[in-house]
Amino acid sequence: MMFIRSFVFFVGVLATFALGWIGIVGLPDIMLAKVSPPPELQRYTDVQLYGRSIYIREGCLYCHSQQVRAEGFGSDQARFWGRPSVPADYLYDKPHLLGTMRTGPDLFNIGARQPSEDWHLLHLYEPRLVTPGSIMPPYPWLFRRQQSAGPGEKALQLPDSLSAAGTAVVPTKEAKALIAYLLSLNHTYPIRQEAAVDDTAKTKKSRTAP
Amino acid sequence: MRGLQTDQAGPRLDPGAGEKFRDELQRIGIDDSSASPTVFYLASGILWLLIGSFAGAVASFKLHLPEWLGNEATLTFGRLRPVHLNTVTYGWISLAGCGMIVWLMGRLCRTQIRWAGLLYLSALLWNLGLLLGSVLVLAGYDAGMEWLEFPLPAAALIAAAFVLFAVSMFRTFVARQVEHVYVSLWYILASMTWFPVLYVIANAGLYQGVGEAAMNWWYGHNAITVWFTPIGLAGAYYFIPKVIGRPIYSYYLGLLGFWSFALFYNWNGLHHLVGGPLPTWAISVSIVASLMMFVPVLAVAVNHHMTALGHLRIVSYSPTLRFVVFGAMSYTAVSFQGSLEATRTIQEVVHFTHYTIGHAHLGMYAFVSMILFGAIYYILPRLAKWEWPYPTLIKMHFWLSAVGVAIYFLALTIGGWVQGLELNTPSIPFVDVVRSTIPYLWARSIGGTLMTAGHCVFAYHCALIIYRAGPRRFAPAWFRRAEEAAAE
Amino acid sequence: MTLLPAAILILAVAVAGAAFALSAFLWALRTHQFSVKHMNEGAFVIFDKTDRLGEPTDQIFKKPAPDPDERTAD
Repeated sequence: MMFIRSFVFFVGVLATFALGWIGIVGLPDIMLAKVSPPPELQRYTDVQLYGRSIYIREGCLYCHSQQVRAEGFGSDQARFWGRPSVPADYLYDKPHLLGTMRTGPDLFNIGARQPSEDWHLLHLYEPRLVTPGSIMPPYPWLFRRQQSAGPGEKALQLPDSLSAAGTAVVPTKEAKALIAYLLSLNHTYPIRQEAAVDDTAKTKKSRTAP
Repeated sequence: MRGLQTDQAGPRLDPGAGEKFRDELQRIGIDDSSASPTVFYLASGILWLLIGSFAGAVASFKLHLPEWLGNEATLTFGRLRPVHLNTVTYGWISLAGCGMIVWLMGRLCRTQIRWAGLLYLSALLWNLGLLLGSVLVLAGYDAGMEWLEFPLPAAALIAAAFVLFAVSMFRTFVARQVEHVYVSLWYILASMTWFPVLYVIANAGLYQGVGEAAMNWWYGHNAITVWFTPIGLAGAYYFIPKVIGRPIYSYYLGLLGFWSFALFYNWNGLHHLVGGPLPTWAISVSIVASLMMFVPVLAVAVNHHMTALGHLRIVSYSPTLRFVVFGAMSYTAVSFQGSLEATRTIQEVVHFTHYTIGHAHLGMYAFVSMILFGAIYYILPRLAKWEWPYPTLIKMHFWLSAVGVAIYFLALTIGGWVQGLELNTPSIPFVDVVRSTIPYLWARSIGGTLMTAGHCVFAYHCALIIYRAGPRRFAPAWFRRAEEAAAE
Repeated sequence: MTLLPAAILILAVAVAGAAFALSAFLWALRTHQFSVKHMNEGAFVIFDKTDRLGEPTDQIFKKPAPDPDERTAD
């Protein structure tokens, strides 16, 4: 009796767990396996991957998302954050960086929206220089203060309040890699019919025609 | 023989006395066998509560004061925030939960703890894993997924620690001297079966792309499903009837509550990805499962409410009952909120906002942590054979925690809702949306500071009782005298 | 695996699971797991013989009875 009762309990417990996994992980994963990469989606270069690891290291994920919702669900479209993102866009992402907070704006197409490397360097060094009212933390450790910019280096154009006489602030290769990664975030290419999976738009589905 | 006269005035002449005396001896023996491992777990949990609270408080202030300590890489928000999350969940709640479970296992099985050596090793490895993980994240080795930031070596230590804990607990359970397996034990046994599997799959790195996102949030919500919530419910199901002195209202409801919980809660994960790049049907399934949670949550709420009905004046003097009832009511509230929050209508507004964080703290703090506080106030005097030396400190702790979390929750719920509405109004520039959240972020920092202060008071008081310091008291450490409460 | 075999698999698993759950439920009914006696006994497991029903158990030291025949605490 005791054995049967234990058997019922443990089988039931494991079954409810397994069913949940099958339903929301296993089965979607099987369906997603048939998604093929869009031709315009490039694999990350080594520098971009390095920059992506800096993005993860500094926890950018906790304030920025990388997913664009459909028309009719939130104002992502009206804010020009790009076309709705689909599973095919994320094929080369490991770990995924979809994000769950928008303390800062969505970055899925930041490379298209803000292609200026100089802007990004200033923004990273001291966000309030280019965006007054921003609460993003500064990242001065991604930069170096030295006497002057060396060959091939370009010092940041800082206002007088932040720059000391006779010194220059130059980006380290970490800063440059991070910005290379951010600039690679450009998913404005169109999506083909077969690469898309149903999104969760409340109203009409919006797929860009090829 | 003084220690034995804790609950009795000495052997009496009435016939039941011998049996009660043996019962008493047995219970003291069981408590003694669980005492050291329980205290090791509880003390470790309280240590991580302090570390995690401070990390959270600093992170909170940095969010609206970004220049504060802005030059320190190890203290940047993006590293402090995951340290806070991982230390309060896998540290405070998990370790204090283990301590409560060890003590409960002895009591509910009416037998000594078996293989306690494994428990000491487990607690040691667990602390090491937390320390390693926290240092690594601060140094810049975040593994990249929310709730799974600890790099593999730290995660492996925690997984091993959990398995050792579960082995000792199962071995003790198999040696039980009672025929009936109490409700709390169903949740505990299920959690010890589920969590290792869950944790290993999540850390195995099997997926990529949006499939990995689905796995990430199946894990994130399931950690709450299979480990944190069962800790809270196991505590509530034991301490509410035990302190009141009446049995749980309906065992049937308990059964219904457990199995519907197991069936539906496992499917909730994708409600964290509403509107995201995943198949619509999968997300809809999670939303439906989230709504179905009304069934088990109502079962639990009715059960606890009917058990406590007519006896709620005890909450006015018993610290354990006050903390646990606060927690149980918060469970109902956070679950109702969560079921509604999962719908697309609400998600359209609150997804990506601070609202979610408010919800998370209503669950992890107002529900689980408050129940753990209540459990510790009950357990420690029985293990130390020493009464709480300063009842005023208990009162302070309660009000700092209760008011703190209330401010916290209100700040982020209202602020998050406003943030969501403004985000959905494209004519409002993004930076203005950020500006309007600042007063709410300030309020959250204040709430969090109160909570942290409460934890300092609590930790100090726990240190006193573990070392049997402070004035020796025999009167119960109540908020007020029972007779006063009865007179109302 | 493509969609149709996967759907058949999940359907088979769901049917098997439901069949197991139903048989477990019927077993429980047959063996009187839901009897009033069983249910009540389960709820009382948390109490010892020293706990008096209806009395809060939140204190660890009870005042000794004022009966002069009793041995009081040293």
